[in-house]
This record gives sequence, structure tokens and C-alpha cells, in this order.
Amino acid sequence: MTGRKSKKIRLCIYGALAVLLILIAVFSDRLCPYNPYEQNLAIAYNPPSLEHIMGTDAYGRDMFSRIISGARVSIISTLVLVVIISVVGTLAGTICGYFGGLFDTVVMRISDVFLAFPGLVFALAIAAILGGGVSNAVIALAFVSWPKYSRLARGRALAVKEMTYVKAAKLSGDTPLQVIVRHILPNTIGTMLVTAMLDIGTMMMELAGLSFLGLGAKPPIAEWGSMMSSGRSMLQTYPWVVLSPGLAIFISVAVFNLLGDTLRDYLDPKQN
Amino acid sequence: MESIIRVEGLNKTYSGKNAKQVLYDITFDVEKGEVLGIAGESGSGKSTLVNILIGLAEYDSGSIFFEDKKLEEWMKKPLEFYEKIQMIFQNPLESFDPGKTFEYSLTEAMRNRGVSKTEALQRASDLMVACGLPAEYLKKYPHEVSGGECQRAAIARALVIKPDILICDEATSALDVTVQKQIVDLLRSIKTEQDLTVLFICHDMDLLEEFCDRAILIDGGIIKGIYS
Repeated sequence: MTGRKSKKIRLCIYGALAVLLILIAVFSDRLCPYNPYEQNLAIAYNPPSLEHIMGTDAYGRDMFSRIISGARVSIISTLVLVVIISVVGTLAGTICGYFGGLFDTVVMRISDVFLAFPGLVFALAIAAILGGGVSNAVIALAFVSWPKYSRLARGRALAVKEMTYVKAAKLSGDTPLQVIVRHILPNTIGTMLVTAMLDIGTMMMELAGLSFLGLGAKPPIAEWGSMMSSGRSMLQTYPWVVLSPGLAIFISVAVFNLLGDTLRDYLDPKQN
Repeated sequence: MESIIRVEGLNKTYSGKNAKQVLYDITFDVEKGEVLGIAGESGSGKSTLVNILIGLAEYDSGSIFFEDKKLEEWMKKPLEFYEKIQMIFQNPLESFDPGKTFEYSLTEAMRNRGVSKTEALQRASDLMVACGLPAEYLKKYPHEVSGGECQRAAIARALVIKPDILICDEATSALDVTVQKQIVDLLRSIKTEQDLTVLFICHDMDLLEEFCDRAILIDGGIIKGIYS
């Protein structure tokens, strides 16, 4: 089997798994065997059984249903976050790289400021100012995470704009906007897509981290990070309360990271 | 004869840490319908000169006129200017967007000028055939053809909006000797058919003598002589 063919197969497998996770997130309402918010103290902290395959939590809620339901918040929020930062960062970086000048200087200095701090610490501060909640956590992380994309896109735009085919496009009468849309962005998008794919895992962890610290989703919303946080004191006595959302995060992060890695290998002409 | 391009006292210095003047008081003119060769060693300033002429680089002082109108005036309406002048680059493969088919690249200039898709496609097909390539090659990507074929496609692209002036920036130097001759023959026949004015930048003195009516020799950014 050729290297490229095996990469294609791996890409299909990880792509299918990622799509499966997204479908679970989208259709979580229909997939939950129990109401994830229905409390039944009579069965609190029940261990995994055939009836409740991941056990129950402190309020007797079915963990499996809460994991499925939590996929919507955790995965969809992460995807929204990654789309926002990759689109904003790519556009800002491409415009900076292509036009240069004052806009480039201002945007790059702003991005330097963001890059000078550890991202999660900065996001914590912003989320704390904005107040808790999933959308504020997404805004906080988006605020600190776009500069990586803008730096990358700027570098690509600087390289691509010197290519002979961009000169040829100008001779065809392309306006600067047409040059960007037709030639710069299509030749940048591969790198940005791979980075975004690899970032899904990181962002999922950071979003879960903010929720774990009480700055993301608020109880009783089923979200993996906050579920881990609320169950952390029971790790030794009722480990399934913490391990179930941990396993969900681990699987999702692994799938999206493997997809990103495979996509990078697949798109890299030097490896083909 | 009537001058189509006039360059007067052109100077250019690259700024930055290693600031260096690359063109000194360049003055020459190009007559309508002639093939003017520009020769010189690598780094002599030939490519800088043509990049300035075509509006892709700036210059410090001097004047450039196309049909008695200053370059700066033309550059206010780039669509109009690039209907007058086109360029063929040294490396044909690099002059095409790797992610676009020849059809896209050849019809791009026409689409920018509001030509209908059918008409643009027809003209692109006709030019591919005129340049010695099958029309089906329009569906190909640059990496799917040889260097010579790619340069033929580049010539077709340059001619697609019927320019008056064609700049060939070492258009044959990346090709092997046999293909070089084919490309020069093609350029010669196109020049005659379309009454083009050609600026032919080249290292090869034999080729210059064979193809050009006159030639300018540039050395260290200075015109050393104009030869007929």
C-alpha cells in the first residue's frame, strides 16, 4: 500500500470518527437514554451497571446521558471557537501580510501583546471580567487565541505575494482583493486548516479547563469540564463521576488531534 | 519610427540595510513593432528594469512613457494598462497558480474585463491551439505538463487580451535548448502575426542577435551600449 493511500485511509477513519462525534453532539437530545437533568437521589452515586453504563452522579443523574448531552456544549462550543479564531486570525494575518503598512504594524503589535502572556492565564482573567458561562468562556479564549493564526497567515501571505503567479494575476488585472481571494487565501488555507484541526483538541482542553475552574459552563449544564470539576472530590470514592467526562475529553481530543496530524501529513507534498 | 515606450533618466535604489543603487540614469526608447533585446549578466538590473516598466516595482527618479503618457497615469487604470502590455516570466511553472487549471489562469484576465465565460473559453482554446497545445490542456494543472508546454500556455495567457507590447523576461532560459528554439519560433511567428512590440530579456547573445532588431547591454545598472 502506498504511503499516500494509507494516509487517505487514515484520514477517512479519523474524519469519520470526528463526524460521528459531531453528530452525537448535534443529536444528543435524541441519543440520551435518560433525561440528563432529571434528579433521583435514591440512585445517587450508583456504580456503572447495565442500566446506567457510566453510573450516576451525586444527584442520581445518568452519567452516560450527561456525557452525551455534554458533547453538545463541549464539542460545538469548541468548533465555534476554532472557527472564530481561525477565520479572524487568517483574515487579519492575510491582510497584514499583503498590504503591510500601519495596519500590519498595529495588528502585529496587538498580537505580540497577546502572545506575551500564557494564553490560558489571560483567558482566565478575561473570563473572570466577563463573568462565567460558556459563551463568555468562548469569547475569552477567542480573544487570546487568534494571534497564532494571524502570525501564521501573515507569514504565508508574505511568502505567497512574492510568487510569480501573483505577479501574473496582477497583470491579468486582478485588484488587491481579487489577488487575496483568488490566489493568496487558497494557497494559505491548507496550512490554516491543519492548524485549526490540531487546535480543536487544545481548545477543547482549555474550554474544559475554564469550566473546571468555574469560569465556563455553570451547573446544572452538562459540560465535560464542569462535570469533572463538580465530581473531583469524589475521585477516590466514586471515580466514574470524574473518569467518565475525562474519558469523553480524552477520546474527543485524541480523535481531532489524530485527524489534524493525518491531514497535515496528507497535504504535505514533501511527504507524498 | 514612432516610439511606443520611452524611458528617461531612470534610477532605482533598493533601500534597507544593504542599500544599493541598481539602475543608473537609464535612457532608451522602444519603437513600435520592433524586438528590443535587453542583455546583461545576472544582477545587472535587467529584471528590475522590466518590473518597473510593467508597474510591479517602483523607481526613484526619471520618467517612463507609454505612447507619450506617463506610467503613473496608466497605473491609475491598471485594467487598461495591462491590455497594452503583458509579460512572460522566466519560470513557466512558477508563473501559474499551482491550484488552478490553465483554463482558470487563461480566462482570468478576460473575466476581469467582463467577457462572457463562453467567449473567454473559446478565445483561450484558440490561443492554446495557436501556441501549439491541444485545447484539452485547458483542463490540466501546471504540474501536469512539461516546462515547454507550460511556457506555451504562459505565452497564450499573455496574448489573451491582445496586448501591443510583450515583455519576455528570460522566457527561454529555464528551458532546454530544443524547447528554447521552439519557443523562440513561436514568439517570432506571433510577433509577426499580431504586430507586437517585444522586449526580449536574455543572456544568450546568439539568440539576441538572431531574434532582436536592436539590443541594449546593461552592466552594473548602466547602459553600456545600444546595438543594432
